[in-house]
Formats: sequence, structure tokens, C-alpha cells
Amino acid sequence: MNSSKTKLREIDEVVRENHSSLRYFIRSLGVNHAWVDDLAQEAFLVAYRKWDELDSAANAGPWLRRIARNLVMNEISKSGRRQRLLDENLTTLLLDASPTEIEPGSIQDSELRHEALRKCLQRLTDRSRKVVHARYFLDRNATEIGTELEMSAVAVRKVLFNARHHLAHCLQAREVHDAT
Amino acid sequence: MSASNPTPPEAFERLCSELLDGSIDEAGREQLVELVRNDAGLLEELRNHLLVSGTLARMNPEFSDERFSHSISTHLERVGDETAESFPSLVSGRIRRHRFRRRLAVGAAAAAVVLASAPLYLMQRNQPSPPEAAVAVALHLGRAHQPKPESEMIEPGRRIDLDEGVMRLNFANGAVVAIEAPAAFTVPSGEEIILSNGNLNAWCPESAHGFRVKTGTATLTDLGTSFGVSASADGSADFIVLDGEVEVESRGDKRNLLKGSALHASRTSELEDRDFETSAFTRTWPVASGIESTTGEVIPAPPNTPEALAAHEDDEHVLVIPERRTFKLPPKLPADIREPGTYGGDPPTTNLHGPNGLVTKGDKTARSFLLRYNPVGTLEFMEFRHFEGSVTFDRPILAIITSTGKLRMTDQIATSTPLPEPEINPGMRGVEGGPKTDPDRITLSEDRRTISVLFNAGESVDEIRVITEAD
Repeated sequence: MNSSKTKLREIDEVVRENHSSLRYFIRSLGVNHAWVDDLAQEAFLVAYRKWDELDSAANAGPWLRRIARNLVMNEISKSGRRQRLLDENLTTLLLDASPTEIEPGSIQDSELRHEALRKCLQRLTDRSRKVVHARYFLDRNATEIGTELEMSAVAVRKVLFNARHHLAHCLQAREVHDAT
Repeated sequence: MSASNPTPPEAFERLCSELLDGSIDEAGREQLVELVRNDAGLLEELRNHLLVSGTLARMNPEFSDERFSHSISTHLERVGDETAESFPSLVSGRIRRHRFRRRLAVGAAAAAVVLASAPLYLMQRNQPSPPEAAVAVALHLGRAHQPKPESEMIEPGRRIDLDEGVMRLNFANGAVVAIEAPAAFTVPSGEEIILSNGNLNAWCPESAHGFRVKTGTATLTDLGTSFGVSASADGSADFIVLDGEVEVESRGDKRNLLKGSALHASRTSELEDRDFETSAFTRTWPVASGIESTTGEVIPAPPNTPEALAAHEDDEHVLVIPERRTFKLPPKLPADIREPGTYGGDPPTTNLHGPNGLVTKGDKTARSFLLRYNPVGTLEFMEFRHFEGSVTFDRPILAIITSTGKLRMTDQIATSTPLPEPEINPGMRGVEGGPKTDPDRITLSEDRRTISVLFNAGESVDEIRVITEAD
């Protein structure tokens, strides 16, 4: 058993290397984004307590994702699941279809991902950027955005949907481009 | 990530949007589950929307990677000897409390950004208009390879590693922040800066109250003030208040800090009172105060409270002292110089003093600076010292006041802290044109932003007041 300080130092390194991709992974399972950080913290806590089960820090990524998967699966059976999960049935389907391994070419570094996203955001129309900004930076819902921009909530959701759709394609193209 | 379905059906589009917006009902949930259960492409499309929305949310400081990495490391360190049950409740409780406060702040901040966008456009009228998403305009000063400052728009989420000079950020809500290299910081929104390391000074008008500066160990919230923050890469930080009041919060320890006070935050101890030491802000404070550059023996006053600045004495320099940041101009402000050109000198060109009052409709605001030579000691009678230099402000000069009487007449509106009356020749505050002394000389540049002075200072204080446009 490592000493407590050594263990903390090791897990600190693992946190730095893996927290971004772990949170990304958890979100992909349909976890409400406001609870992604809580589940990621729980995953790191479980990892901390089971540290001796990890054979090598180099394998920490897949190990953490397995821990996170189990935590998300546990959420499905909880009475307050709707708070943490967008929908338990959707999460079940997403869990079944999700790989534990990282897809080849995907951007793991958070800074690179953010940089790619910024570039992709530039390709949206001004109106789309304005709606995305209000939704994700000012934390407003479709009704509030619609009131401000004189649009219906339905129209705001449509703009957001199309923006996310285009951003997903743009990010995918950048991942492929950067990986080759 | 893949996006195998380029044209998702309309029902999926609507239901996916409602799910992410939190407005989907039970029937909609069931319909969406059925749609994606039978179509792997749509399930992947849903995952893409989750990932993109999650990544966008990561650019919000509340959920930023930097903040998360710091918080998880700190918490794991703390729980080393705790039971398995105590940690989750501790972490969840803190995050919930933090989110609640954040939601309150975001609501207020959003309104402020919208209402205060006009000043940004007005202030930068000689520069390109910022796009809708920009929250600040940055001006990079003091780079060796770049004789003229360059400006750029700052959008939310922008991280900047500053390796040279000083950067001034003019936020849409009116806040002005100056940061000195070396520094690393992020601008997550128009209401906040995350300072990883470096020194900054900020001034916040009423429209920017609530502006925050976050460091690795503490968060400063402006309550109407001028302040400085110095952050180290190890997370420790020093906070000083030059005017007004701020709130500093570190791990639940919250303190209100008044002008002339300083605090230190670190990972290892609670907030500590520190001596009021301003030397770290010698370069940033003038820039945040509107002084873009100086030359020769004209230098910015050292950062300090208005009271300390009023009493400051310096044998070697003419100091540029910021006075009121914003004040309402009277219908006619007594002044001596209004137009570009050279005044005084030997032989004299145009008189240093003149009936050139600044006439307005009484609906405009302005800012004031004092250029002052105030020696520590007293020179012998008819002994003179020669000072020459210039100062460039970040906005046009409207008028210059050079005569003692007009200086006195404008004291009340231009300064919040009366200057001490000179002990020697109290009636001779302004500059002189001779013939008993070597004449002083003042030049106002064609672009109205630079004033060059030649002071031949004798036994009395020499000073002039410079009135510029306001924020």
C-alpha cells in the first residue's frame, strides 16, 4: 500500500490527465450537465478508494470510464434519477451503445477541444451564435431567449438544434483532420 | 464523435431539443426513446447533441475544466482520512450552494451586459465594432516590436497567455482591467476574469458592480471600487483595494475589504490581513486609470488611495495623478487651453493662460487628472529645477487648466480628495509664463491625447489639471 501522500500525488496526476475526457464521457451517457461534475467527482472518489486495484496509471482512463459507467447505471435504479439523468431509458440505450475505449481520432485534450469548438462557432451565423451564447453562456432557456430576441421558443430550440448539429459535424471534421 | 444522420426527422429534432431544454413531457420522452431505440443513427445523433451541449457548457466558468481540476484535487486531498460517507455529502453540498449563488449572479449579470453594451461601442468608436458575442475590447500596450497598440475583440471563454507588455480590457459593462505580463488568464464572460497568474488592476463603475476576479484560492467580487489582484501559479493571491470596497471569499471564509487594505489567500491557511503594499501594480494601475504612457520626467503617480496620492511628494518627477473618474461638466468649466498647439515657452508662442472655458449643455461627463510637481523639501528662493516629459491618455483631452484661480475653482468637481494647500506661496499652484521665472511650456498634440510639458519649478508647487473625455 502506498503512503497517503504518494497516493494523493498519483491520483492528482490521474485527475489532471483524465478529468476532461471523463466528464465528456459521462455527458455522452445522458447525464444532466449540471450533475456531470458530481458524478465525475464520485468516480474519482471511488478510484481513490480502490487505488490498489489499478495495475498501472497508464490504464487509468478505461478504468475510470468503467467506474463512471457503473455509477451511471446505479443512477438508473435510484428514485431521484430524473434529477441527475435526462431520461433513464435514454441513458440505458446510450450505455448499451457506448464504447469504454476512446474512439480513434477524438479530441481528448480539453484545450484543443475548446479551440476546435471556438473555430466551429465562428462558422455559425450571427443569429445562431447569439442564441448559443444566451443558452450556454448566460444559462437562459428557450422561452427567455425567445422573449429577448423576439422569437418563439420553438424557433429558438430549432436554431439550437441546428447549431449543435453543425457543431458536431464541424468538430468531427476537425478530429478527423487533426488525427490524419 | 460521429454524425451519421445529416437530416434527422422533424419529430426527433423537436423532442431532442425539448429534452435538452428541460421542457419535454412524459409522452415526448416515450416517443423519443422509441425513435432512438429503433434507429442507431438517431441514437448517435442524440449523443452528439449531448456532447456538443456538454462541451459548450464547459466553456462556462462554472463548469470549466480548470475549476473542476482544482476542486477535485483539493477535495481528494482533504478526504484522505475521512470516512467513505462524509465526502460525497460535503462535495455535493458545496457545489449546490455555489450553483445557487451562480444562478443569482448570472441573472443580474446578463441584464447588465445587455444594458451596458452601448458604452463599449462609444468608447471604441475609432476601432472596429465588436461582434455580438464579444464581451470586451483588448488593447495590447508596451510591446517592443509593436510601436502602435493593437486592439482585438474578446469573446467569452477566451484564454490569454500574456508574455509581454500590459493588456487593457474594456468590458461592455464599463469595467476596465489592466493586466501585466507575464500573466495567464481566462475571460469566461463579461462579468468575470479567472486569473491563473499575474498582476491586474481593475476599476468598476456602477454598471459593473459584482464583477469578479477568480484565482486558484479565492474570488474577489467588486462592490464599487478600484482594486488590484496578484495571483501566483501555486494558487496563492494578494488582494488590495485602492478605492471603494470589495468582497473576498476563500473556501467559505468571506471578508469585506475597504480601501487601503490588503488580504492574502493561500491553499494552506485562511484569509490573512497583509500590509497595504502596491508596488506590484506600478505598471497596471496607471493603465487601468487611463494613462496610456509617459516619457521623461513625467511619470504616473504610484498606486495608492486618493488621500495618499494627494499628499504624495516627489523631488524628481512631475506626477500624473488620476482624480475623479467621472464627473458632470458644468455649463462652463473654467479652463486655459482648449486647442492643440504649443503654449508658453521662450520666446513665448501663445499665452499659457487664457479665457478658454469649456462650454457644454451641462449634460456631459468628463474625467480629470493632475500633473503635479510637489517636492519633498523647499528650494531656495529663485532656485529652479527643470522637468520635461509627456503623458498620453487613453482618450482625448477636452481642456487644460493652468492658472491657480481656475485650479481652485475646479477643485470641488474634479477631485474627491482636496489636495493639501502648499506651504510656500499658496497662491501659486499653476504654471508661470515669466517674466521673473524661466517660462513653463505646454504642448497639446494634434490628436489631443498627448500633453508635453516643460516645468521650471521654483519654490512653489507647479500643477496643471487635464480634463479628458469620460468613460
